[in-house]
Amino acid sequence: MSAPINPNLVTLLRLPLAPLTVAAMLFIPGWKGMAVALTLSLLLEATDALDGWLARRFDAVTDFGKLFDPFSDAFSRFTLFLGLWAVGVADLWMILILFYRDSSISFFRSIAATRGTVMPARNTGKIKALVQAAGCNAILLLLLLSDLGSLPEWLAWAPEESRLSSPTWWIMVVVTGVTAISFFDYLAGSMPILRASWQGKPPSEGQDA
Amino acid sequence: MLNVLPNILTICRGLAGPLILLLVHPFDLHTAAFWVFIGAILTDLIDGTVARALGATSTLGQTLDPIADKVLGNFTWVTIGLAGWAPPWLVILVLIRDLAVIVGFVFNGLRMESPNIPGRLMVSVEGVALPVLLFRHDWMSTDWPSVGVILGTISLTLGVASAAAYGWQVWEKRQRVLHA
Repeated sequence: MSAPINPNLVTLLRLPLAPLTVAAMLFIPGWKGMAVALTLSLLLEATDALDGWLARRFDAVTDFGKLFDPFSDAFSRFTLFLGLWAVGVADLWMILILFYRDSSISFFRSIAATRGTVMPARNTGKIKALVQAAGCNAILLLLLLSDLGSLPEWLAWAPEESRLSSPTWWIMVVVTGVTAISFFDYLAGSMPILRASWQGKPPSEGQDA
Repeated sequence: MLNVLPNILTICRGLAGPLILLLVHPFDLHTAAFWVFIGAILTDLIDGTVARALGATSTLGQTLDPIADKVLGNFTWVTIGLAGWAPPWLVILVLIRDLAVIVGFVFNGLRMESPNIPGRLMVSVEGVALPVLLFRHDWMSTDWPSVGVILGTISLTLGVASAAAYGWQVWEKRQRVLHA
């Protein structure tokens, strides 16, 4: 049985969701903007789960999809975190760490590809993805509830107070920390292949993992 | 790399102790200190689980775990004591109790005895008492500082009971050896 919809098409349709989420956060005033943002973000998570499931369930796994899906994830996630930075929940240093991790790992993946190896996802990468998704949506939920005025002062996001007093900031700290740990794990895992490539050894020497 | 993850979590928990002290004195960010404590106590719940799931249990982890717990707990008690959020007698008695535990831990070759039932209860009650004492907001019209002091006193009592039970066990064993 073939898939009812091409999984890559699902991944493609997912791309505009993150920019729309950020647009809703920034340009629709009040709690309605946050409600739209949270809805779009949850839709994003659902489609993220859907494309991989479709591909595996209906034997429609393609090389294109294997690369398109992580690209789409990074694209969406980074857009959302930039949105959180724009509304003041995240700090620039956090955004930079998220960016450095993603761009470095794309580089490791490209090096692996030049040597004919597909770098598999590592466990810390999966944990990172889970923590980023949970963190992002938890923050959007807290922002929505804060805008609705239904949170007590110690739980609500109050831009005029110290960022450190808000749970949203600490969620971002955890997300950034987990992302940094995942970077070092990928770096350690890619070391043999990076070293061999640096020294110009041909892939056949058995250095590559 | 992944097998050091549980130890990283444990070390983060230990570092949270001094961080809580700094956030309250001098920065007066008690809500931030509260969130850091919540995060730290969560690592206590997951580090052991993560280590077992990864098959990465280690002697180092088993040594670091109680040290991190004590660093977090004692720094938090000192923070609370300095801020005057709990009566001095409670803070001082807790610190004396923990000092006794630390001395026992060191003399036992940095190995933690498997805790008895009052000891386990003490740790759980303390894990609730400390964030309640750090919580300095009006919420649900409850006198949270008093709740914290009551929980802290219960945890202290359980600690004394745990030490008494442990002391009794050691004494009994010794008697048996002497009379054998």
